[in-house]
Amino acid sequence: MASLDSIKQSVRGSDTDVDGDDSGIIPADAGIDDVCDEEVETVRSLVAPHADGEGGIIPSLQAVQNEYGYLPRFSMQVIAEECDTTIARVFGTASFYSQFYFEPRGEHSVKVCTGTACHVKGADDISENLQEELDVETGEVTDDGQFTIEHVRCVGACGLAPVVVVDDDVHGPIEAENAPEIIDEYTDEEA
Amino acid sequence: MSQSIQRPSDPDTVDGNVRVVVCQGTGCVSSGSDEVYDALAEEISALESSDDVALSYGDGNLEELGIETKASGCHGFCELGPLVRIDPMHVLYTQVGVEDVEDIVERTIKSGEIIDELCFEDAEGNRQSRTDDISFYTEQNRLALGNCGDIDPESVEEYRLRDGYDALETALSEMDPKEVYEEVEDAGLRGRGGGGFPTGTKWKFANDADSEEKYVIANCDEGDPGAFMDRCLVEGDPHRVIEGMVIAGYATGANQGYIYIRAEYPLAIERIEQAIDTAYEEGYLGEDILGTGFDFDFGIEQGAGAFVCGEETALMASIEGQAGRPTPRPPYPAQSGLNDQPTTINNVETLSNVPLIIDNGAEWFRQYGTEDSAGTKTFAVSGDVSATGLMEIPMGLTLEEIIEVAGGMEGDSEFKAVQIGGPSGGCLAEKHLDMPVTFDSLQEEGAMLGSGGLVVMDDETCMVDVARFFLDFTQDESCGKCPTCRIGTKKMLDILERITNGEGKPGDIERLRDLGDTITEGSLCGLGKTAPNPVLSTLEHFEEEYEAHIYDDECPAGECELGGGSHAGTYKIAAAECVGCQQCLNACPVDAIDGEQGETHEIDPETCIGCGQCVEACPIDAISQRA
Repeated sequence: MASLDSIKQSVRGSDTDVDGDDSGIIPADAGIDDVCDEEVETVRSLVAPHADGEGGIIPSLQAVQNEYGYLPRFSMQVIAEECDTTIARVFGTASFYSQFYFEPRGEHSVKVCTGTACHVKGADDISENLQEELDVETGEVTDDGQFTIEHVRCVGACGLAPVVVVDDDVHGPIEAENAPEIIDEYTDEEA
Repeated sequence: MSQSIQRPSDPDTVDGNVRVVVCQGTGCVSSGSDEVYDALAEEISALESSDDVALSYGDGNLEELGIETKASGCHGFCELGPLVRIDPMHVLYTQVGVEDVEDIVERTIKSGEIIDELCFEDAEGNRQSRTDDISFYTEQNRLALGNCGDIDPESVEEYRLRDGYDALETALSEMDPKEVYEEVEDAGLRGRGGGGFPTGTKWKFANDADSEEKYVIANCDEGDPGAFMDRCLVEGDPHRVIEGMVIAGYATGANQGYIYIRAEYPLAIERIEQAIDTAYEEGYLGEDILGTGFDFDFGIEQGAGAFVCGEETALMASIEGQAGRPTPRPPYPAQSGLNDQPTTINNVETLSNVPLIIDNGAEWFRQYGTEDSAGTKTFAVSGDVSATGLMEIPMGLTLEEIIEVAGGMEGDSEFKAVQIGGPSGGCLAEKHLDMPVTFDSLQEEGAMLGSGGLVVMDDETCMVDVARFFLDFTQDESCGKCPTCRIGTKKMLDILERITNGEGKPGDIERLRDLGDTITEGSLCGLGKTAPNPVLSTLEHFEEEYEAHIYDDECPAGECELGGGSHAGTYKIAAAECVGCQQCLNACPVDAIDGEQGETHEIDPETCIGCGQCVEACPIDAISQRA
């Protein structure tokens, strides 16, 4: 997460104390005037290869989210400028698709597959156990910022149902009672 | 030297080497096949210089022929991964762990011995060592999937050794566009993505359209939960998809193609990217392809997680950078599609069949399947069967035969239903087991082939809950454009949630049917039009389960936790018994009971205070308390 280090320096608040800001994350509602020029340039360089009228909106959003993990407001302003359109159009497109987030996410994404095969084999119980273990609702970030649980529709690994995908690793088949063990693997990594 | 592994009569080895093929499909990788591959590759590369390899290969010995470790795309036998196959002997080892690698090298490769414990165990408990003896493989006709699991998807040489790009050369140099689409039309190829529209006809329309600029799009936005054939095709044989696309471009007069692929399929994206680069280098894409003067460019567009984008007009809106909301047809994409230009959209599986048809001819293709549904279809079979995975079989097999290919029901579970075609499809019951599966037969039964996802359910599955599950999906994925779909699916979902919580009310079944018909009639695109199918088809074949939930607070499958929910303690009237005497109605102190004389009465659980006076009043004991 090299970019996060640069973000630490980048929030340009009224009482600018960049070194003291160790939240490490740009506030989701920071507009283009609230962040430093380098940050804007970073986004511009991410977007540039894709910017080609409105057809470039989705690839641009994907490039920015790959880097930041979500879409801060200012990035959508930059995309609008680069793709020669309005921020309303960019946000309208982004908010339509479930792939895009407007709030920072946990370090690890825990995706519980709720496709048909997984549903039939007990995905609901897995989700409940994971929520209990992490003490967090679906879609929210844990207090330590480590995990976000979400439900996804079919990851195409039906032969292994029921599955949980943590970051890019597919785990399956999973017994509901053992589901929390998967998380341990990633918690240990941090320790 | 032991020679227990014999060369099969039909050796297929693309380059003369013995190949230890390790499946690197998504299913196997998540079971650890990448580590198995690394370990095997290391051991085997150490072997090459050794002269104690005992595997026999026809008249030659290994030292002359060489042995190599290969990564392949999905074999389809996902549940038993990681899979390791030794070709050309077709020896298959299942559920191979890193700890088995040494054994495989020592015992099988060095001593020619089959390791029984790693072989597939069939339903009778017999160990089968070769794919040629396992019914999952022998019962299939792998055409579109022909190369998946056999060749290295990252190697264009291997694809060429399997006649890859021959069809492209034939089409471009020996046929004119009209001959190409007519051949495809004659073959009877129909769209594999769900619609079942004749592909050749679609190409003809696009070819007829008058425009300088035309597009073809490969639809790999495989959003149906329970379907993963497009993922396997792109991961396992990406060059076939490219070849099909270029041929489609030639037949329709398009010079630009895109593949629209789900962002949820990172491996597939990686493989197709790599294959596109190679195809450009080899002259199969770009300008003046194979020296024929035909130009074709190919790019990737990633989806962003919206099921409705599998619908073609929504898909094009998405490529144009907009929210993926469908638009009315006509104009059809063949006249005015992407950037208002004529556009042909084909499913990935459809395109994978095209090179085969050009290579072998329409007649050859027609030997598979039925008159109206020619060829084969891949099915992703999951749920309560022994061997979940991907299989390709001729169209027109019965449901029962399909389940048999998948190894039959899991353990001693009892068949109850199959859900076919994802959220647009429907549920079929036991009486449909001997029905041949084709585009049209399914439509007649209120289901649809869809992309070929087939979820088999046993008697512990609640059909009302299955319907609720799919409505939850479509309600979530409705783009919101048409009120009938946006609001109607929400209303249907509310009712289904109530029923599965034990709060179903008399009249709910009629309301569901009514809403279903309205949504079907009043929605623009396929998503809305077919959204009620899972409910309507379960109502058709399993109405008694709905009734049990509503009237008896019972889930016959034992899946739903009923018991009144928030209405615990209130009273209900058994509709089948009520004679409409109005005695309870008169006795109720809070006017919670409604009903005309002589007709079934209802107690509104929201108003009921659980005093029990109605029970006293009822002359026929038709009233009971919710637990």
